[in-house]
Amino acid sequence: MKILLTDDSSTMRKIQKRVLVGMGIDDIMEAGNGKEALAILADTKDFDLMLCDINMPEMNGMETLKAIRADASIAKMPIIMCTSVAEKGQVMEAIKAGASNYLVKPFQPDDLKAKIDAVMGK
Amino acid sequence: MNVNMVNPFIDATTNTFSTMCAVAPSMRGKPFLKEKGFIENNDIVASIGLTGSVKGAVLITMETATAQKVVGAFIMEEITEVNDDLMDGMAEIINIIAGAAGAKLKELNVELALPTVMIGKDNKMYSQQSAPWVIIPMKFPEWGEFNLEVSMENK
Repeated sequence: MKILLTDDSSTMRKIQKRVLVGMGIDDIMEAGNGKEALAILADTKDFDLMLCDINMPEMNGMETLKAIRADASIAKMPIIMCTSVAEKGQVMEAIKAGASNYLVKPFQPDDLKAKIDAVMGK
Repeated sequence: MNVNMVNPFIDATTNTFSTMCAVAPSMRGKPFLKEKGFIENNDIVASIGLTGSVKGAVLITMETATAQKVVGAFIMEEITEVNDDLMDGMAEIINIIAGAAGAKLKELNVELALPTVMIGKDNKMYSQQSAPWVIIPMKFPEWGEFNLEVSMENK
């Protein structure tokens, strides 16, 4: 499985990466914001899944999600939105905009695994 | 700021450290108010602005050695110096605390700015906000003490 991690926090990417590697997933690319993620996606379109933070500088997670869903070449990629803002309206907005699922921080490794399994239909 | 607005920040702080660092902090004294003016902080200050239907900020401040233990547990790696992981980890922790607290304040629409982390000996903050800071003294079982500080008012 190939995954794109997008979070402005390098430590949060490190935490998520450790969980993914523990799941046997080691084909992982990282982006520090939405712009970087879209730049990667311009060249590499075969990601099976994207984990995307919402509160990021440059281009936030909601803007990134909408840009991906508007691009037919990558629109179907499953995206799990990761947010520390467990505010219902924002989560609902993400789902309406096409998020496959969402993960609320703080989370434990099993929470992330369960979300990935749910999205990937395991 | 009334107590009903402070408690979600205390709960969010306890839950964040318990979930992400596997350690439960506790209060080490009664919360107290600090009006405008200089506020003394510890070595490291991680803060984030609160916007939406409110204006204010929340921060945690602690000694460097305590922060190294905290972030080390957060990323499951030993941290022995002041490095990118330490600063980024503190930023992410205050981001998570503020987000979780904002979610508990259901009657308000709390949005987050981007976090900032400062480090330096004898640093002081100068506050001109109209809402006083609520200082909540807390401690970890073995890693040392820290303060959770919140200043928030409705717009």
